[in-house]
Amino acid sequence: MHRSSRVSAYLLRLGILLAAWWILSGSSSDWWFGLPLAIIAAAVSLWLTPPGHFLLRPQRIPGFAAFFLWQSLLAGWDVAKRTLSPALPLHPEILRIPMALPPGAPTWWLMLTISLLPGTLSVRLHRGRILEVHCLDSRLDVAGSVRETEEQLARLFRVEMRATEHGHPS
Amino acid sequence: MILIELLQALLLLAGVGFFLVGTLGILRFPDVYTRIHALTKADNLGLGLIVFGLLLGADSVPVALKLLLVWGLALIASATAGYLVARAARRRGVRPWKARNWENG
Amino acid sequence: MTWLLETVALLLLVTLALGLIRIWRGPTIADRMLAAQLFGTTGVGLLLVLAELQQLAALRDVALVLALLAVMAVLAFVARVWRRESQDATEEDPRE
Repeated sequence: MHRSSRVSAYLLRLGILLAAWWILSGSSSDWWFGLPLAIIAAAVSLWLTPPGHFLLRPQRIPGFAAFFLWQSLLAGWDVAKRTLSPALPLHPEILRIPMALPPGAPTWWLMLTISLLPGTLSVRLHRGRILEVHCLDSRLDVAGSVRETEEQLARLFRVEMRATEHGHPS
Repeated sequence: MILIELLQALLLLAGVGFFLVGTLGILRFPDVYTRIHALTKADNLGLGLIVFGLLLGADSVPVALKLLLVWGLALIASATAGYLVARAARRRGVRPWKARNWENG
Repeated sequence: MTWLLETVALLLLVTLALGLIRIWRGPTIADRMLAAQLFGTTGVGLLLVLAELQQLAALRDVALVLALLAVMAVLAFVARVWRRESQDATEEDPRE
């Protein structure tokens, strides 16, 4: 790991911790306590979890947040429509979808994100490459929406996606 | 001012509505996998709407950010919980429910 | 505004109570584990509304901790109870 990337990781974590302290302690910020604590905590975090290969691009966060908020709204609306309909229109299926993102942090974020997006739920990951997804309606393009989320995360983390085939029922 | 309060009321009531939907979902949906869908999606959106409703009345920036932080943590907690329960059910061999008229659907 | 927040808090409690029906009926343990998720999210919402209603800022910190604890509870449950009970069940088979 390059020295410069360790320094930038330290500064990023320090920034996050200072922001967290500011939020948690409210307007009566006691910086004489918070500042040394953040400096030590950032050092400890660097020691416990060294910076990985994946760099989060802060300038991409607003774009991802907008995508996420809109999709959450659609997801809640979709569940509400199905729940409130007397016929209970569900066509659940477990699909196996090959991952285009590299294993590690991007894949973990993908698994958490798609569980909050319309009609998909992460069930199991096989060897970091194939994700079992439970979907509420297999007649929809589930693989396509997973792929869209992968593209969003690839932009957020600056990683390359692998070429894969399409998902198929298990 | 009255407009903000109206928007706040709308967001809060919509939030509660989605919480009700989530609960109705876990009562109506046929198996554990579909119930996790109902709970993670509807309840998290409900919490988000309530958070944004309260945000409009927040009296300082740290309070507003704290509300967003709580929502973020709740989202991560809920998505992790949903995944863990689904994975545990799958490992244990809990069969997913399937629609009966599959071929026609 | 107060009556609105009171109504919201009351309705949140109702959804929590109704959710208990599923926890009680099961039928699988997984259904009962959903309680952690239900109480986590609804409890957090309830605490945030109460913080505003009673002007108690500390309740927001309680909500924060509850959100963290909700995920800990599920982690512990899956790691301990469930895994031990399913040891004699079929092991992981990717082809179902």
